[in-house]
Amino acid sequence: MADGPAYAAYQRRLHRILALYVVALIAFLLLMAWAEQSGLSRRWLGPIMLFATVMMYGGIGVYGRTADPEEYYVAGRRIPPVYNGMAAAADWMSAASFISLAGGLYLQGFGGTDVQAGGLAFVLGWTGGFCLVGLLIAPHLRQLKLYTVPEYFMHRFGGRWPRRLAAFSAILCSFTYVVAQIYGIGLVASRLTGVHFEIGIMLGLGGVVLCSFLGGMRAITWTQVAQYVILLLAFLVPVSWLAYQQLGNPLAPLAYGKQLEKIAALEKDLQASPQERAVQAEFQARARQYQRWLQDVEGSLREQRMLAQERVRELVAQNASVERVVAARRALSALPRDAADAREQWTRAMKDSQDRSRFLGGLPPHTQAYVGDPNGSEAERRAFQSSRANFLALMFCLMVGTAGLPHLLTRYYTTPSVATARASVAWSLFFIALLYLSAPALATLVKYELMQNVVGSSFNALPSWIAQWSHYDDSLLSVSDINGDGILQFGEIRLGADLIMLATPELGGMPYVVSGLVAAGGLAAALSTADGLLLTISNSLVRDTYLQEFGRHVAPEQRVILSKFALLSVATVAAFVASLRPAEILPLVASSFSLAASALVPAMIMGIFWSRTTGAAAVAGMLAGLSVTVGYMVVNAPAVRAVLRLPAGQSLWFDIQPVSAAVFGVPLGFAVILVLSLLTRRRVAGA
Amino acid sequence: MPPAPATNPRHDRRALALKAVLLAVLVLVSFGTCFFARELSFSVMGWPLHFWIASQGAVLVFIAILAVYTWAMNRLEARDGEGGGDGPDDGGGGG
Repeated sequence: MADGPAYAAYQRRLHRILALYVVALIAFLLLMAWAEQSGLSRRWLGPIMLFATVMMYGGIGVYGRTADPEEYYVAGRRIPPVYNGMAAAADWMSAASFISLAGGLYLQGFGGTDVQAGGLAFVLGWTGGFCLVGLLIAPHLRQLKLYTVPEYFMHRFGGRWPRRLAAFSAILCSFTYVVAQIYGIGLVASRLTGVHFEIGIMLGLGGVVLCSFLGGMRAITWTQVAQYVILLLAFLVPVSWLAYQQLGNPLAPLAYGKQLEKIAALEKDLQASPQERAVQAEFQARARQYQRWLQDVEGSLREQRMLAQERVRELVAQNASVERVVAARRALSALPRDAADAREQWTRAMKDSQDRSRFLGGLPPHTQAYVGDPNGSEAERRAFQSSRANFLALMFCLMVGTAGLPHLLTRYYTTPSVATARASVAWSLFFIALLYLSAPALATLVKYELMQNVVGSSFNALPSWIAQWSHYDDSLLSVSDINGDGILQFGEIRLGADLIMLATPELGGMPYVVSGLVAAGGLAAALSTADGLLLTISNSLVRDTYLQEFGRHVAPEQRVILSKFALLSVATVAAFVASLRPAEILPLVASSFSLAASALVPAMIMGIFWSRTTGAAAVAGMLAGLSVTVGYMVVNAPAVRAVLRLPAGQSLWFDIQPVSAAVFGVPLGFAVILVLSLLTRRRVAGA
Repeated sequence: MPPAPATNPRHDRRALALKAVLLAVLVLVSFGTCFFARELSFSVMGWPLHFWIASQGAVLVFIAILAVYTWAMNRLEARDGEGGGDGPDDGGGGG
């Protein structure tokens, strides 16, 4: 099938369609740029680009609609490796990769700090994982002609529990992941069209659901290919633009080394700057003040409330201007409502002030590998070791998690043969690398731009993007004149990780059409991943759970219908959870990697490579790995600690942060499977 | 009646050796270099070496690993295909 003349003709037709599509896309962008030049308002440009792309994805969904199980679940197993690679790249690169990765690299530099590892660990983990997928897992699963990942557990180990556990874990980690995607959809859509966050979610989700509901894997594959092209363009255009501006060379990944050196020099200057010192001192004073308030929460709250009321009265008595009275009233009503609320708010504010009282507003120096000093004092040595250990642990979890994420593995079910599955993994990594090699470049260029050109400008003449974004959401960007000299210092501006990519076009003074393209790219990244995840969850619910437990005699066409409705309900629930706005995107995604890594990978790899692995051992290994990982995360979550009345802070093993919990879960899973397989086998033999 | 477990696929020794070598390379360029990142923090051709490895060099090696694997496995399978019988497989004869 993979090499007949009909297949060759099919591939040629695909090449033609892709070429046409790319040309049409570029023509559309040029048309939009022309429209902007001739005076089309920004209020229209953004929504037009958003709706045009979402409508196109929906259109592909309608065109690819199917009720045939083979098409719905595995796209007929005839996707050529290059296209499957593109689809897998889009499937893989989520809102976190597109929106937050460059921002994370900006904030964390090489490897983050000892309390929050990150930085290049994300780049390495998310690419290195593909080697595990390609070498150890994907071709073996493709060989078996399966439809879902939990089916492997049923096929290999028999019985009910391996499959049940695998289905449960697949749903658990995919659901965490899909919530993060939908959050990203809401962020981008609301920013681009100015609608409410919740309505943004619904608009974006409409495109996803239409596509995967109608066409399953077949439609998703081709939308993902279309989305890959958009997100690649949307990433490379602003990066190349910025690189050309700063370095005279649009090939950013080759050229940004120079800026790394300049940033190191600028960081030294900032360290010596008296204004930066003043900002840091002010934050230190604030931290001490919150600490003082926290010693007697109720008393301080009463006192603060009285002071604020006093101030309002005073202003009214003085006949002060309306704005000042309103500001004072607002300050009064912004005070915490009760003691518990105050304790929480002030603890957060104290930590925040402490962070920002450090050098560079708490950011580690950009290229420095790990914080602390291996030859320094006891505390410095400890910081260095814990920072390095956390970096390596996070990289490990992301790599192994990549090999266990069901929505990625099912992508390689759609290739025509085992050999093409292997080739397809290599292509996926190639297409991902096109973007991932540019992300550190973008972070560097943005940092240079800020340090060189934005810091030091007067507060009256800040670039307009700063005002716009800080007005939009305080957690994305906040600026305030901390030391009161009217000049912006590096310590006075704080960017959220999600902002860097979205604000880059404005930062570089690019036309608004590039902003629209970036937003469309972010949306494509979130939608493509959400597509794959929703399909995985609904298939796990229907094929691996419902049909196995209750409905063995359902006809194949009805299975497809059931899957479609499961998909709709999952999408609704996920949208609801996302509308509650859980934490930032990046940590949320990273924790679902730990879940996938510890639950699925040990049993899968042992099953594939060790013939003596038994079903009972696999079940025990999955349970052990998953419970250690989940337990470690839960015990260290502040909310849970409060409920269980554990002391505040964290109880960590070897200083490893909870997000990398799989570093304990995975080895434990392997060990349990190994030992129990040997034991159960012997018992059977002895019986 | 729950389904019975499947027999495990046989693995070709050459394929396993290839995997082992490539995995060792993977561990070396990712965990190995990052463990010594502080020691590798010097400038080579205008780039801080540790930063270049972690942001570009290692990713390029990962792509090379997968390309070599795909190429070598295809060669193994083609050679075995001529003699008839199962490929060296990624799990030949499983299921």
